[in-house]
Amino acid sequence: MINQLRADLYVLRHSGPAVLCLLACTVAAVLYTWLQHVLAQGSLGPEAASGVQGLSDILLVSLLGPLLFGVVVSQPFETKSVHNALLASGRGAFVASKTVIAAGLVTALSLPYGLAVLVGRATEAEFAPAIPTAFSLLLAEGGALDAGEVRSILAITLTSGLLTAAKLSVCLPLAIWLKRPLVVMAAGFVWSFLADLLAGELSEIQGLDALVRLTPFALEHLPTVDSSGGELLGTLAVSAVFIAVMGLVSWLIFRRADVK
Amino acid sequence: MNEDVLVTRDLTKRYGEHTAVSSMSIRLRRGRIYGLIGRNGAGKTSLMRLVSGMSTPTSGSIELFGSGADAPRQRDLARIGTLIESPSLHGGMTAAQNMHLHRLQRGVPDAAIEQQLLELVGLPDTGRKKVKDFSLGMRQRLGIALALIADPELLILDEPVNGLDPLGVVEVRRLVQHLAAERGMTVLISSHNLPELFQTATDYLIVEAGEVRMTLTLEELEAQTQQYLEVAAGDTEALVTALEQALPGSDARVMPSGTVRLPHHADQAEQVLRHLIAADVWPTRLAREGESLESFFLSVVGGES
Repeated sequence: MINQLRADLYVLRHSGPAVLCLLACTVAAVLYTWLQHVLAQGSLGPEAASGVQGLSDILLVSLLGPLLFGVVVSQPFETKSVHNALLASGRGAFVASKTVIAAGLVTALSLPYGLAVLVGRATEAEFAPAIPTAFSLLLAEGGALDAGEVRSILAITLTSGLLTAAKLSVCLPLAIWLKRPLVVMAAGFVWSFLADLLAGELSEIQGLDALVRLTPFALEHLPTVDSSGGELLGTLAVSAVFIAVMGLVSWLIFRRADVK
Repeated sequence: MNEDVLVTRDLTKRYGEHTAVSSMSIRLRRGRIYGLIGRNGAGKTSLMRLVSGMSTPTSGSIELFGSGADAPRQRDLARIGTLIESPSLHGGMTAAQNMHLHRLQRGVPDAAIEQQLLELVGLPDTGRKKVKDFSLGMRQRLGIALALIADPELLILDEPVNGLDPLGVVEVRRLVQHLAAERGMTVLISSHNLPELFQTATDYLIVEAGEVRMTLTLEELEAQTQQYLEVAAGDTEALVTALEQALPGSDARVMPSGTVRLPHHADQAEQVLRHLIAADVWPTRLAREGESLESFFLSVVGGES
């Protein structure tokens, strides 16, 4: 498992798609923050807000997250490096390592938005939220940026990132099954929007609401500016467990599957 | 030490209605080079995949390294190196980076092995050139180096000389023979190039339609495919005497039918005829006989030349 993890991290260091996705999120986070400032100044009309939303973490991570799941998990099947992985560490270690690496990478996609909030708040400029996501609301909240506030922003960033990774982790078994990064990306993107709607409907049904609360799709897990430390920890735990369950499902699919 | 590296018993793999491997029972021994011969779709790659844990059998057992287990265990699979269908390469990395990646994956502590293996396969100085810009032959060489990174005891090579120039083919042959002779490595190698396999392997498995049709050693294959001069005469005794006198040490073999086979004189019919006439033995038959490698293969698998 450790050898496979080290190998996957080495591949990541040389992976064009991973670096490009992180770069794209960083650029988008900077532009998103700046445009929200322009919105607050009134230099940009309310009709432009929809354009600004295209740079939000919700859209970018929903698009690039499934792509990264696809690249990290499916690419070894295309390069045939899965052959060596199976001989070296086995199927369990392969799936476990991919689960950790892909989830970590997708979590990292949210970090530029958190850092952009910190920088934006440090400038004490005004910001208008383009959409009411945790990052936009944190940015728009304003006020002095003390150590406690920095810790809070970082905690919300990490929680929000892991929560999004958990929601998208259904791409893990999908990628093991389909072995096509672009198909996984398309399916994951659609899923990221459908899942919230589906969870909303299911939580209305008595008996199922408790079940939905155990998944990252429950609305109550969305971090907000008012989330307590306990709530954030609960969300982190639900997210981590859900990712582990998706890893387990992936292993069950892969356990006896033929590798070409 | 158990000399059996791989034993399969009634190994079968089905994909829906299609049977890729059918009740294959084979035994590979340490330090031997096994040439896997068969047509496209005969089941060569399917067998290799099963042995290396890439697919699971429908029925039957695979025992590796005398483990006593019915299926490959992880610690047994770690003792195998493979190059199946195409090398496991990351196109965006250099040869050295690919070697490093595979060494990390296998948990091999000795970093010097990376350069040693690149030199061994003739890729010592490809520098910053990305693997995606390598020729097919260079990719194959790198694939072989990667398969060797964990010093495997069983090396599985599927068409390793594909895309190699004649010099590369000879180098791979020497490398495989060196690994088997010096390190006791067992090699299972498939190729469409029959003459090449004939020069490389010590044992042969001829497969067709998912079944092993014949297993034989190099000596047995040589005997089956050797060209010889077949001579017959009215008086067999006189014929043998004349041949022994004219061609001492010719390894003449008298067949039950009374004909004599001269395996080392297949191209010397005229010289043999002169000797026989000089000894007043008049042949009733003098012909070059024997099967070619291709015709022997086709006779085993039931095809037409």
